[in-house]
Amino acid sequence: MNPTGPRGLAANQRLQKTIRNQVLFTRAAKMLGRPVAWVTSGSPVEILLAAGIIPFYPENHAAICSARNMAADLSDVAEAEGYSRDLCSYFRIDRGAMVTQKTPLGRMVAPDVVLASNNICGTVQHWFSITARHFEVPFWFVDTPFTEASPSESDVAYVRDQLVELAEQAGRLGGRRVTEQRLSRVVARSREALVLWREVLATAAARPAPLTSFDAFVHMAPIVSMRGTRRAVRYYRHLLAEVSARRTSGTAAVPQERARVVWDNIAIWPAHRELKRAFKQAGVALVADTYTHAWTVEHLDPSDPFTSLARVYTDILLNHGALHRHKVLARMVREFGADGFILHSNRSCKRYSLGQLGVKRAVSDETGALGVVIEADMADPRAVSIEHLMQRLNPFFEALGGGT
Amino acid sequence: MSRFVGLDIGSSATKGALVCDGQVLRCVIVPSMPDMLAAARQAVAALEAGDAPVLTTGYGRALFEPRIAQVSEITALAAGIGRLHPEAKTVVDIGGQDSKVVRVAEGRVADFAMNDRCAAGTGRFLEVMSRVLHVPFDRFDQVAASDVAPLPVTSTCTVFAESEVVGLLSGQAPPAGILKGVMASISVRIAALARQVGLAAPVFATGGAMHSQALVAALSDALGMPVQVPEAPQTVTARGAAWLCAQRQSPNRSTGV
Repeated sequence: MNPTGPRGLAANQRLQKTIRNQVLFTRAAKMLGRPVAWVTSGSPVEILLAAGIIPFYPENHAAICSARNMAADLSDVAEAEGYSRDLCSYFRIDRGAMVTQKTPLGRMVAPDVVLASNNICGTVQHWFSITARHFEVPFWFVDTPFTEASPSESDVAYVRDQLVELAEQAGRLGGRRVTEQRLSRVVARSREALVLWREVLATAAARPAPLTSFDAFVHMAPIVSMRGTRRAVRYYRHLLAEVSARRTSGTAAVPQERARVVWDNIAIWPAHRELKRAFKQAGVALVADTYTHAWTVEHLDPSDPFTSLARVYTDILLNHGALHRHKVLARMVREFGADGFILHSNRSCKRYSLGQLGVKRAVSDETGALGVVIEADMADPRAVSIEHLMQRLNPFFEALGGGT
Repeated sequence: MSRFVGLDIGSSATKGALVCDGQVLRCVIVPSMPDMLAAARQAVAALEAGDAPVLTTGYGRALFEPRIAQVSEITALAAGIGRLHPEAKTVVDIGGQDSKVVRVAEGRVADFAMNDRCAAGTGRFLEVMSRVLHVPFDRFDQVAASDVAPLPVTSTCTVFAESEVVGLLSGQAPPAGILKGVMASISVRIAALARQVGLAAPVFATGGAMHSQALVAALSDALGMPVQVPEAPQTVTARGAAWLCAQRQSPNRSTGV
């Protein structure tokens, strides 16, 4: 409790309810015979939804396991099988969960198919093929070429061909043919949620910021795991109304906001609460991050669903080089009026963390903002030390005019 | 009376500084272990500071009361070197359990980097090597003065380096060569850190380890430029804390840290 601070977002309760409903819906749909697909966060899920297949997100599930303090135990199971601790912690947690069937969500819903795309990393290709073998179900895969910046037309055409084939297979499994018309409706819903989410995040450009990335890290759950559904659109309409009202009334997420910073990489779930509190105490508002902003792509075009899906799912931050990532981060520093930026060197996510020292220097040179690199892990508490994080963050906060 | 205390409660030593009208009256150094709080109280008593306000820094900075504020060592180090050597652009500090490189501008932090989660490149590394080699720190320069060539010692991990040194000793390698290798190893590690923040001359180095001239020379070699050591290098951070204390207590306090 912070007597000087405002209440947390009212949407926090709605979020819990929304996630719970989604879990119940998935379970009920499975019981009624609807097929379930385990998918990566960067999967073209709109095609599955149009075919009547229900998606389940192991990455999201792993983050929830980490937040509920189950990460170490589940990882141990995967490590005992011989999977190295140097592998992605989301994978190790998911592996532990699929083997033990332990989940904070009550019961695991087994997949009828597994879908992955290498647009977020190469690890998921192996992770999801292991999952497919474990459950003895088909493994679908979308190959998205890695490009320095925007994909070329031939890259988009290559991915589009795969999506058309995926739609045929999904239609057969789901029992509902994926017509352009059906797909277009799902894409329109996805687009609506993405635009709402972008507007939610954009409110943090106000001074003081009405919400921080610590809120966004949590409230991104529906955009990751429910985009393409009406549930996500409804959710973000409410959230946008609330944060817009906070902006209008000048309600600060961080009372006495003295400095503003931007974040790169995935959240540190095991330290989420402690970090949120430390930032608040120091008067430092985390106003934007490359992680939650990754779901703000706007190329989605309901009038040309296949091509626009191909473009969106290839044109993903992690599917581009460090030069592009530096530009995105520098733009974010400017747009959100940040004084500094934090690069979370995430032990689990090599694709996200590679080249960060160069990115740090380039963004500092370009914007004049102070950068700091902190080492942690998105989900494995054994690789996260609050003490070590604060040793770097305290001088950083002080240099920005925040701190105790 | 305008007397102010800076207290740097470090992992191996607690340093105190008393300033009056900007001038340093007294500095003290006491071992931090086993009881950091007792060490901090002892340091304040030894300063004979009366009820002068105290600003704390270092690992144990949250322990000591009453204090007017606490700041990180990096902020205090920048304040200290900025006052002592306003021309300094970079300062390297080897602490008991971490090392840091700070790029400074007028006593403020322009950029900084710290060693990652490992004792390699810190004072602890030197302590471990000193124990294995049976060469106390105050004899480092004497032993390293020998013209034996330095032997390569890994800079990745203190535990690995320790077993490596034990291996070298069991192979009858000369301790002087090993010690020189140890100094080169820690210096290379710090030079890599320095490049992260963009090394700018003049470079200063602080921390108790800088009493060893051989180590300063190894550091200069690794950085490829001369390294200067301020007078009493172990108490620069404590003095910086005392000056920050004065600044924060001053009635017409500037907007600075």
